[in-house]
Amino acid sequence: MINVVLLGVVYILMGVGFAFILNLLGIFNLAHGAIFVSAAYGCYLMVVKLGLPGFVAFPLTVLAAAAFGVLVERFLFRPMKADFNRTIMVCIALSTILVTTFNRFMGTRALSIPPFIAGTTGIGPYKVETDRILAFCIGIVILVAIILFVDRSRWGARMQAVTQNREGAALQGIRFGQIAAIAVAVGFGLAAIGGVFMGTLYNLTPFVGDVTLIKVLMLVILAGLGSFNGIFYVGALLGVLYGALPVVLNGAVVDALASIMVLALLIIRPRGFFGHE
Amino acid sequence: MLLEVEHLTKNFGGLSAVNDFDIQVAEGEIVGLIGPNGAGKSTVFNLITGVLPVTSGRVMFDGCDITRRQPEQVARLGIGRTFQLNPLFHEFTVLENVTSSFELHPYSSLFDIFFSTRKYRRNEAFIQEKAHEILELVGLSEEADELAKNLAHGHQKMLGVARALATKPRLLLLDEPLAGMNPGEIKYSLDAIRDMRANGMTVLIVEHNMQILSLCDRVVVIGFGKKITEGLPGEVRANAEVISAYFGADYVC
Amino acid sequence: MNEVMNISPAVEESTATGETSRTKARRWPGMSVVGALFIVLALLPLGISGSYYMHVLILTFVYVAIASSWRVVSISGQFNIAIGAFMGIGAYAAAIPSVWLHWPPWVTIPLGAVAATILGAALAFPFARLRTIYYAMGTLFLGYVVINLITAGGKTTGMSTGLGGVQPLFGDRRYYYYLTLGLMIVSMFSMYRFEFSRIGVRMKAVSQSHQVAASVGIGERRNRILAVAFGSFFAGLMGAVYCHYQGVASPSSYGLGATLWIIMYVLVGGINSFWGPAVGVGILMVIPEFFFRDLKGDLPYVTAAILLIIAFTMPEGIVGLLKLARDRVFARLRRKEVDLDASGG
Ligand SMILES: Nc1ncnc2c1ncn2[C@@H]1O[C@H](COP(=O)(O)OP(=O)(O)OP(=O)(O)O)[C@@H](O)[C@H]1O
Ligand SMILES: [Mg+2]
Repeated sequence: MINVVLLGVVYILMGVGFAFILNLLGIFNLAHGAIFVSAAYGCYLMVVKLGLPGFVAFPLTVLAAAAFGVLVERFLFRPMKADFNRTIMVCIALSTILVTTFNRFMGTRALSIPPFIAGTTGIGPYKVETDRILAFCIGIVILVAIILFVDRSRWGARMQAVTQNREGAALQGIRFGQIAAIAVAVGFGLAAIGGVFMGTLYNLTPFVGDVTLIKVLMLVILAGLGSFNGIFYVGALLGVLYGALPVVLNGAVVDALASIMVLALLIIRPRGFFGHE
Repeated sequence: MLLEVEHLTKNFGGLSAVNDFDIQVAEGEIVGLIGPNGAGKSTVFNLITGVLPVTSGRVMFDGCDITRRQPEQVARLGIGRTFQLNPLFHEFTVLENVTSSFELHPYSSLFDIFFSTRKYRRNEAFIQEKAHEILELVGLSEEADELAKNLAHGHQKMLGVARALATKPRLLLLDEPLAGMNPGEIKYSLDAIRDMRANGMTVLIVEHNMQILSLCDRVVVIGFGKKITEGLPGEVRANAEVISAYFGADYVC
Repeated sequence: MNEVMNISPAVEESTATGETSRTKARRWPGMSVVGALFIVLALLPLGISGSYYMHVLILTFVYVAIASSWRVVSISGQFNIAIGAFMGIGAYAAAIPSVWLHWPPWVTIPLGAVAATILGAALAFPFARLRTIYYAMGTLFLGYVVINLITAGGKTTGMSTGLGGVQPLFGDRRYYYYLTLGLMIVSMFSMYRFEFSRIGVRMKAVSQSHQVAASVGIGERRNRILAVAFGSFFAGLMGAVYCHYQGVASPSSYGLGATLWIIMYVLVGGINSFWGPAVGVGILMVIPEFFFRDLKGDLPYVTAAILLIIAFTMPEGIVGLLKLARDRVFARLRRKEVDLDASGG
């Protein structure tokens, strides 16, 4: 049960991060999965090799990912001038470099980040691993923070202005470069949080990124490209789908079901469940 | 009648853009369709040519019901058109815009094209020749090798007409052909349309510019999707209702 | 304006003839380079002995045809992220009868091509509703579904480990070399006819404005389906040949990763140039395998570096850059000619 909820939270984190970059920069960040994996490996290295406590390693990883996002925006995305073909080349190069690196130095062996807190907590009659509850709480707090950031903060308002009308926003003196850097930083940071959570929950190999990327694309399309709120509902739905159904159905069947759903939706209603014309 | 439109209705959600609208065009006629902004003129064109599905009503062309035809089928049957916002094949040259529009006459099958049979090569040579003739007619010969996107606005409009002519239409629908042209270009275009009429072309024109009235055999006035009045250009010009439709509160140019 | 009309016939004639002679003059050197390259490739097996290099070249021929088939679909405005899946459909349509029914390769390979064409056309039908990024995403998931179905296919498809034991065509690698080279040349020739004829004009028209295209009688749906069917034929054909050559069909060769690399070949070479995909495969496949083979596991760094270099310096790919350079040179030459004419007259 907690797995379902947690999986939902991870998908939403990933999806929101992806949507930030897509909505503001118009970039399909095909390196999102690689960032996710890199963060998980980074956290693993800090905890296992450097012996840092989880409470230090986790925020460090997220900050590092966000900083990396700023660099990527400035030196990789911005020079491409939002040309679709060029940005996907850059994303694939970036993702190749990251995945190859972890493949080379960590091997393809499955790893797992040790739990930050050992032990279980009793909730009523159930016993649940404490770190999962913790992860869930952190995830929820971050999601709430993101919603508040977008809805209430000055930067959030600027981001919405840019999403709706880039030229208009520029006329009001909003600097696109800053907004873009923040969007990518937040996007990468959220992917990193998702990566660390997944790293503690499941096994980690350099190739989980590809699988995750597909899930994220699924989520973003089902929600409707450009829709932000839809991601929360659809993320929860996918969490249920992938968290609960594999118990009764074969994993490949669940995958096939989900992807056929995406196809059907695209053909019948290309704008997604929550998209608008 | 070449074109007969009966009880044409189109609803966009709650909005009735075209409402029980009738219009007839006889072979060889030039008919004007005028009305204020948002009256539904472009929508009528889109309904006739199958770009939008009709809500109800009927469109007959040359005795054949074309109400539910796809746009390319309508073009095949002989209705050529231009668009108000005038999209073009921007990456093609002016000449290519016209040659690519020769899809129907002469016709080459996929087999002919792929294997470059003699028939195909003959057709293509013919098309080159005809395309130059059309460009000459609309005054774009000098720009033949320019990319369409680099043309001045007025020339782009004329290119739209040239492209429609390339389909060798029996009925030509022009959506605001004079909009955005300078006076010289307007005069030239009016002459070109007059030439088309001399060649026996049937034309239905949507236009805001009242100069067009001098060309028309008949004018239909549309307001809020309904036919308001219809008559000779002189009559319509005198009709008070038209004046109010044009210069009333709704009129925004 | 009327003045323009009076003098225009003369103007028109000169530009028309000028244009054709110019394009001919431009096309000849290019064509002779390609012809010479084909001859060199035909004679190469006499010179190289290492079967590894021959293997790389076979791979190259296969992927040149496949990447070109992706591009030929793209000229109709369709960014198809399912090309790997169509290759896979061809491969499995050949592998399954070959392994389980022992049909000879000369039957199963055409079968693979035809299966990919028919399925391509059938699947293209609902997808012709989608445009731009929606089409791209739709085909991405189409490819994903196809791979999932193959993986879920039980013993028939060999699941995720793949289906081994596909009958080989020949014992000698050299024959494969000539077969794939021949098929590549025929494919490229067909695609050349497709693109540089009225068919290609229709495709490009549809991609620029489906609305205008329809208004002159060029149907969007039928032409887009035609493009996908045509492209899938070559993807399926080469997928089938390659799977007979390898002796195995495995789903990982046809997934999203494989598709994205095929697209990378095209983008590196130049998506707006007919020879772009061929050059792209040459750069991304031949150069790393021939010259950086010792790097082994570090090889992806080389390809990633190539991608970055191209993305940063050549928005239109390598062939796009060459074209630009060629046009500059021609423009300069022509200016000189004009100068000479002027001074002479
Ligand atoms: N695709 C559409 N969806 C919803 N409403 C539409 C659509 N197309 C047109 N309309 C509405 O239908 C009405 C008629 O529009 P139409 O474009 O036919 O007017 P028009 O007479 O051509 O005006 P104009 O002179 O500005 O070109 C307008 O109110 C417009 O907003
Ligand atoms: Mg209009």
